[in-house]
Amino acid sequence: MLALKRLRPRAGLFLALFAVVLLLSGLAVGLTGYLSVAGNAGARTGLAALSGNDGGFRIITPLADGADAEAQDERIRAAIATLRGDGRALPVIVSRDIATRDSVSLESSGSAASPGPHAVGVTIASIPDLEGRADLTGGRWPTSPDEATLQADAADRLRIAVGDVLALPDGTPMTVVGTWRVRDPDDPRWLGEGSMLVGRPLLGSPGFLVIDPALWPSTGVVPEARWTVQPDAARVTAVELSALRTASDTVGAVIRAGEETPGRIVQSGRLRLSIAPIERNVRSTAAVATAPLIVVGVLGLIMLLELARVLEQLRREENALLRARGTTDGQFELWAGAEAAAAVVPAAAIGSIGAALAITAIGSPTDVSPLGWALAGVVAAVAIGAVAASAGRESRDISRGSAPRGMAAQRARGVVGIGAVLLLVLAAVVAVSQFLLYGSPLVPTADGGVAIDPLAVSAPALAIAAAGLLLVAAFPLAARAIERIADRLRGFRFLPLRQLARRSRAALTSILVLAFAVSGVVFAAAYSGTWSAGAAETRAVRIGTDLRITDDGGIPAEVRAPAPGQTAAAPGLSTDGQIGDSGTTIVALPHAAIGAVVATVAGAVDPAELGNQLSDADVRPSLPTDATGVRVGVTSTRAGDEPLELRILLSDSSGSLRELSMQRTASGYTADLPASDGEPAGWTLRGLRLELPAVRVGADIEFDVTAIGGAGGDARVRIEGRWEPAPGPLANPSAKSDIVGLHAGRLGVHAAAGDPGGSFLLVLAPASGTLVPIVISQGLASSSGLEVGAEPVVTVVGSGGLPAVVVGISPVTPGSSSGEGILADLATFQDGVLRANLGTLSANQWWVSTDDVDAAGMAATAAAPIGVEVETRGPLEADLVLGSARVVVWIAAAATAALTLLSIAAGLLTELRGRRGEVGVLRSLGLNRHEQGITRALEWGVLLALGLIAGIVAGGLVSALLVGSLARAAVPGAVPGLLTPFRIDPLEGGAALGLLALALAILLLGTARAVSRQADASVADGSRG
Amino acid sequence: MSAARRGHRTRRWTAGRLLWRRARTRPAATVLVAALVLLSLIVAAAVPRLVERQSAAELDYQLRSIGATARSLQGVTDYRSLWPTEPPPNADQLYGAIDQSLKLERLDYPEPLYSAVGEPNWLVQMPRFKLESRNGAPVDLGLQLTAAEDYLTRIRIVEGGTPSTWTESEADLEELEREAAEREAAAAGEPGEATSGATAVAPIDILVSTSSATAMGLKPGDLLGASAAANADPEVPVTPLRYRVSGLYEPIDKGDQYWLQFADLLPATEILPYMARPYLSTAAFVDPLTIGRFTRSLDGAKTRLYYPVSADALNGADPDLLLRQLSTVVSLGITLPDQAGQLNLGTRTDDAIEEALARGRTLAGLLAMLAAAPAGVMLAVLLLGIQAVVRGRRSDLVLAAARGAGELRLRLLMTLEGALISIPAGVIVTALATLLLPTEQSAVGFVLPAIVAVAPPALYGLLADSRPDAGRTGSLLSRLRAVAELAVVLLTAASLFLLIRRGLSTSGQAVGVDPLLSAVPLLLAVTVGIAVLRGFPVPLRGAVRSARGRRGVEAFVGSIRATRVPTLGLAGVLALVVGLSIATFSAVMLTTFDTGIERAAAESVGADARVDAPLLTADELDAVTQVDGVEHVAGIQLVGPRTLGSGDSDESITIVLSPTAELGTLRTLPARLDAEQDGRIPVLLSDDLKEEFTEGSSAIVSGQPLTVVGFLPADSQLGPTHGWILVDSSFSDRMSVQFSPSVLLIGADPALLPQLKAPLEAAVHAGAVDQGTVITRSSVSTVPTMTALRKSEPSILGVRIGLGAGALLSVLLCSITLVLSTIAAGRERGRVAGILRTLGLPRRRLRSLIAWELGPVALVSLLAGAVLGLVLPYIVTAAVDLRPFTEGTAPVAPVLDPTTIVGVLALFSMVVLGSGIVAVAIGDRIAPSTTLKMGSS
Repeated sequence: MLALKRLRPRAGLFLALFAVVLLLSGLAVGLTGYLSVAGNAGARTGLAALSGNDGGFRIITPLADGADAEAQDERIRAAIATLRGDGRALPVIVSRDIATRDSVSLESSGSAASPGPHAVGVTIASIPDLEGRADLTGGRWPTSPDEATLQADAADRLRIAVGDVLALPDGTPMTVVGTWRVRDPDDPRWLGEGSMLVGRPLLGSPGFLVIDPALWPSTGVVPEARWTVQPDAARVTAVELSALRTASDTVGAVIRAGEETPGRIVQSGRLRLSIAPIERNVRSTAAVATAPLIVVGVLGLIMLLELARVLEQLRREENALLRARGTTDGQFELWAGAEAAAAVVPAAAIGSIGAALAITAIGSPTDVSPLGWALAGVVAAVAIGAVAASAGRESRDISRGSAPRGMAAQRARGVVGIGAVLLLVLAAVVAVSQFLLYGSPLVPTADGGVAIDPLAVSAPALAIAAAGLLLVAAFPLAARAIERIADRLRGFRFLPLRQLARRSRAALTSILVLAFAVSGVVFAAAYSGTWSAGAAETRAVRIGTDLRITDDGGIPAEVRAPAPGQTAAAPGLSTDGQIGDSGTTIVALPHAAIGAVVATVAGAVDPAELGNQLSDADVRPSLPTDATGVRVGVTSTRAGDEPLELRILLSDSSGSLRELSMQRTASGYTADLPASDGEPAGWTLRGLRLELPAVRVGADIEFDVTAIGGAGGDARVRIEGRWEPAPGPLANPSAKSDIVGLHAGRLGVHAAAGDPGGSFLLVLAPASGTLVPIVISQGLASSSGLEVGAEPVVTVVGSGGLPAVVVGISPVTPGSSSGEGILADLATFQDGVLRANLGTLSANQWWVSTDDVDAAGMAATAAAPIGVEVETRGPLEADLVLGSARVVVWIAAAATAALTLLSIAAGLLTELRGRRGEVGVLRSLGLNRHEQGITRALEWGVLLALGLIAGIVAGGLVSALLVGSLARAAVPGAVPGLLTPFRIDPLEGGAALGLLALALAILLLGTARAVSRQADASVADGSRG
Repeated sequence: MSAARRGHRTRRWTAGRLLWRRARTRPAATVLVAALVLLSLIVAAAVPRLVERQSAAELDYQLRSIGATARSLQGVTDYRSLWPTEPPPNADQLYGAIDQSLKLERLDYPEPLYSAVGEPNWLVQMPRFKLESRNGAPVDLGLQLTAAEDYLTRIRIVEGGTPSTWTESEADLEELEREAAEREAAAAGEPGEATSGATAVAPIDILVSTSSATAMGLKPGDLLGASAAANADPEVPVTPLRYRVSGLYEPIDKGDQYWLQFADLLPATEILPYMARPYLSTAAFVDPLTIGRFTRSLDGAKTRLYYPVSADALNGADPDLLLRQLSTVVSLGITLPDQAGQLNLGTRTDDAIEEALARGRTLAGLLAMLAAAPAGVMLAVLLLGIQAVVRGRRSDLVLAAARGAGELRLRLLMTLEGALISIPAGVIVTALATLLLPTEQSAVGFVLPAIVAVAPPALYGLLADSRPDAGRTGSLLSRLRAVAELAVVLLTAASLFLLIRRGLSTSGQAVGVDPLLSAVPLLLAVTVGIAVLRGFPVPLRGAVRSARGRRGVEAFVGSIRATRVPTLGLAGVLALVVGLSIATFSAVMLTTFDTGIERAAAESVGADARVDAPLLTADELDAVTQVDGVEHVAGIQLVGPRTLGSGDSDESITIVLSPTAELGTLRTLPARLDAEQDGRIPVLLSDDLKEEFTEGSSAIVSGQPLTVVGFLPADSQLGPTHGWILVDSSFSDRMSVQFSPSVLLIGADPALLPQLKAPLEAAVHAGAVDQGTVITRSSVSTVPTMTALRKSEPSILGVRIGLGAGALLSVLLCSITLVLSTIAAGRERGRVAGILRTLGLPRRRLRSLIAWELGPVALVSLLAGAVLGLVLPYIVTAAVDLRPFTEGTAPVAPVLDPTTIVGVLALFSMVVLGSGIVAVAIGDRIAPSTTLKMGSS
């Protein structure tokens, strides 16, 4: 009863306690749950995107005999089922089939297509789930064991038709009743065996002949039983990724360990490799999200302790009375604990259940993590413990004498306070230095893995806490300054400042929590801005443009159609290259288009500058757009010197190089231009390949090129620039030096000496020299020790070396996934490749700059045939997963702000009661109610402004120090050469701070009004008295 | 006038005299501080230089260990002819331009690379082709024409003469061929009259090495013929020409790098063509001008070149700079003149530098870990010493302050006193270090001693206190002691946790030296020190209780004083704990290292000694068994790969044939292997085959039934590292081979083992040095030589020196600390001692008081230090993989050698005891009058 009575006057404080616990426990359950939801979504999206060999693994072992086969199946399925290790099954789909490894020779009785008995070689299999995953192209599915089906393309190749009879090695006849194709060759179920299933011959076997399992004894071979295991992408959770990654090894080990005489077990599939990046993204999200959660935790702890302290401070007098009446320390603790529990337990329950319901709504009940419940429990326990401990301490203080604490005790507390600050600062220094040393919250572990480092991940929280505490510790200095200002003011205007300067430690808590909240908001804004900019810039560098379409076979016309919002488009070429020992990527784009199609990344990619660096002055002769053919006339000083064979090299507007064989006619050599599908092809002359007979010394052979079939009739193509025979291994090496090009805009050869018969390639000789100008990335420049002006040989992997000259070094190379690479002008690069006799390299990419990335991406994806890769600068799936860390950071910031508002409201409320007497005194001194309200509001306003400034300074410092690395850890596929720029999101940050300031202003207004009312009331009291 | 006299007197009493007087009054502490400063200076000046020299030595070692051939910058490119065939090109056209450009290329190299890279050596080599006939008789030989302009400077013609220039032309030859073909066509139907063009031209002179000539049966004057039809490789254009052996040569200097770099020049090489009989082939020199006459055959010709890279010239070079320069050189390659193509250069020097850098990083991490604790102690002891001196000066300072000296002036005076001790010493030590340990002058070698030299004066000035009462700062610091201790304990826990979690080597490779991880031993020692200081009063209280009842006051007062005002203080306890723990740790780690190296050496040798040879003759085998000290010899022959079948699986394996009875004396073999079991050959399998086979299972190799009788570790140093079966050599005929071992595992008399290498080498080299055809190299390794080799590696040497120096330094520091602590506590004790003396306690019993103060805490510290010293190796080996240093397969675990440990403990205790006696001797020289007088004031 007494407890209840004691509770009632402090209802406000208990309400605050209730709210704080509600918020904290809700956050504990909600944020851990949200992370789990985001992680699971990331895991599922990532796994769903895996296809073919990347999407699963396979256990292969010789099929056991007869009835043992079922036991074998059960045993292996059991081994797969126990993979998770905690008794629960991993969400995987296991499909078992039986197949021969090599092809088996069967006797065909002959058919219409290939009459007469003959042998056919096929791979035999029994695939139980085939009917559900394949479509019939002819015939029907088997209904009896002596019927079989055959993959459709294999049937074509083997010339087997529905109805043909095949004899198994022991003579058992079998009728082919149907042909089929699998519905999705990229389905991980087939584990990249699409080549077998779509009928592309692999290892000499044309494709699967599917028979009834009962027929295996008749084949005379021991087939392999194959269990294909693919993760069930719809059910997988993030925590299961690690078990999935090691699953294939684990299964193998389990099976081997469990058998007396283990047979040979083979594993295949690349799931292990393809799951690693998904796991890394999920882990990065957790790592980044942990940091702000620690801030909330620290703030929550401070608030709970402060609430407990305020409660006992307010109760000091009644406690002294109770103490005098014989209440013991233990009883105080017990009462206080029980009181706190009455508020805390319901709050924790409501908060955590509410959050759990919310998580269930956006995810599933399993997403509510046990860690969240445990944290909610910890919050409740800490709240109760803090109140109980505070009551006990207060009681012991009272028992030592109810007078204010002695000097010694004060000093001891002071030392403990300084000690705590020093410890915190030390911890922050250690944590921040570790974070900066390793540059990430993810740190290498002794076993070679990477894990969240507890010390590094708490660096932001510890730094914010330490910076806040240090700034608050500097408050006495500020107070002295404020007092000096107050001294100079006249009338009662000095009052708010004087009050402020003399505030107790209780007031400092408000500054501290506000500094915390503001730091949190600044940190969130900085993280949000930095991460978004970092992720976007990383994508911009990796893709190089807004929309990039890649096809090694050349870009089909349908995807070159103008995309929605398209502002520019250009062909691109990407291939593997090498300089010295460093492997790298070569990206070639038309220099004139670089400025328009390459995405600008501040401080890293300056397209205009790149375009200027790579510009070339060469003019390549182009054919009229409406030309349908081309003719090359030959003028030679002696009859019979005409080329034996002539081929013309042309490029089209998609950067594709074509070599056309020309027919010798009376008027010269002619060839029809390939029909352009859609837009004009835009043919450009790139070279002539000639097979010359032996010619005499001094012979001149000159070529003129005419475009035929244009609207204006045949048109002579203007030849400009110098044309020269390319050096290189020619049919007759000693003759090469005898041939020189005819210069000054003429296309032809001059036999300077001797009998230079053989094959030649005539190409445009660049005006600037034979070295291909390249711009290399900074990382490549460092690793290969090159500077501007260096003349390295760029090896085009698979072709050969190309002499080049470095004309620029850029921080990164756009369009290279690692950011490192070589950028060159497309035409110059192609000419260089031709000149170095490395064959012809056509463009394999189409770069599009567009104002509407999403629409353009969707349109291109829809238009792209199979095998064409479409990539956009838009967010990736991995971005969505890693972006959830940003959401968590903001939720944490919002939570700190809410906690802070609660704390300040509680402080204001407490003070309202505590300073009632003062109001009366001031009233009697002549301060009217308005002045009193304004005075109090001003006092708090300055106090909170100090907190705000401290928070902005602390948050800014900590963010500038740590946010770059933290955000980088969550940028998918971060490019080493690209610095993550430090940016504060002005919109989000401004809005958040504005909201916070608004809420504080409302609180202050409320306080001012309450003080006014108190002043009125005091007048009433006075008149009554 | 009087003012002037006063001024004069005051001047006479300033700085110099005051300092001199002070220096004479309490010299002990000052002398010790001076000794400490000197020690710190020596360490600060020497260590960075030693570390730098160590990395230089490591780089030098790595560069030397890969050998001159791997070190050189080398390249191969297509050789393109760039001259008209008429008139015949001269030597300058053929070689001049390329040679010039190769030489010019080198001139562009920056230092230090330029000095290290020598003049280029290069030659032109045509594709290998097959010879068809020798003096008309068919042969099966190969030839590769080689031309080098300077070849005559490197060889000595031992028989015959120099090859003359071929004056024909391959282009003419084509004409001749065409004419011959036309004649053939014209004379169709008249067989026997057709003439080959080849017979119409003069033969090409070639020069062959004596060893190849012996192997291939060539002699001067031999006429060799080749034809396009006889060529095995249709890709290689061969003109049907004839070749005349003009002479035989030998290299002037067989050890010249040239012959190693172009290793195929001297010996005949056995060519193993696909689906054809093997044959011998050799490179042969032609006259340098001869290649100018080729046209078609030059199509596959290659220019091969190398620039020698000297390890001597790179000694002490900056590895990072070198690496950058090398990558530039490799990236740029060489552009040959006149479109002769592009030459890419390659070298393994950069790998060696990277390896040296990686080892340097790991070593730096380890050394930082080893050095942190002694360095921490040194700092603590220095502080303690300076504190002792400053405390001794306090009364002077208080007096001076009372007489009107300003605080700043007094502090400056103290600073001057400190500077007099450290600055001259700093200058001298740095100068000496620069002279004695010359390095590439990195700044650290000067900055560090400078810091150490400046620190004491600064501390003197800072700690000087002229106020009569204890400073507020001091009292606040003493009150924050608990906080600091808590911080240290927490930091220790955190760093230990992180060290175990991250490992020193993984984090070392990621970020270099992580100070938090390196500080683990120091932090642990400090934590143990704190625990000792906080913990030892507990048992001592018992001593106090028991002392109460006893006679004599010194036990009682001593034990009470020991708990209340510990003489040693944290610095003293720390010094003892660290000193002993580092000494023990170093001893254990040294044993561990040595054991690890010996084990790795034994592992790599596989027995006491080992002979590897391409082939061992029966005579050599006999010679080996005759060597004094050789007790057992087990020959090993490797046969394979063969297929080991077991019904449902086939494994590709190597058969290890060996007399198992002999091998059994060197290895524990599980069963008798020399007798058939149920008609099956008993075999042992390498344990990586355990998945496929079990003990008792049957298998088939080369059609012979086997039974698996057991397994041996795959890495048993029998030859292959996996997938092998051990079969007794008595079954060699069943495996269709004749037993002729190429590896000998030797068990030797331990006493004679160290001297075994030379006689063994003599035994196997006798007949195998140069068999005329192929240069063969037999190698002999014994466990002691391998161990010595490994121990002489710079990084190992670095670790060993680091461990030894750490131990020595710790002991020195420890003994200085004991003495210093006693002196520092002298003032406090003096007052008590004064009272006790006044009360009549004889002076000699004061010693007992000091012993009581020192003894218990020293004992506890020693115990704690010993335990920590034994624990540290386990922590370090758990966190640091020492295998990069020791090599070997098994992780290195601490080896506790009781003799060493007890020895170290005993030695250390003796040093401590000795220091204690000195401390007592200094400590009891107290005149009660002085202390009492000061106390009363």
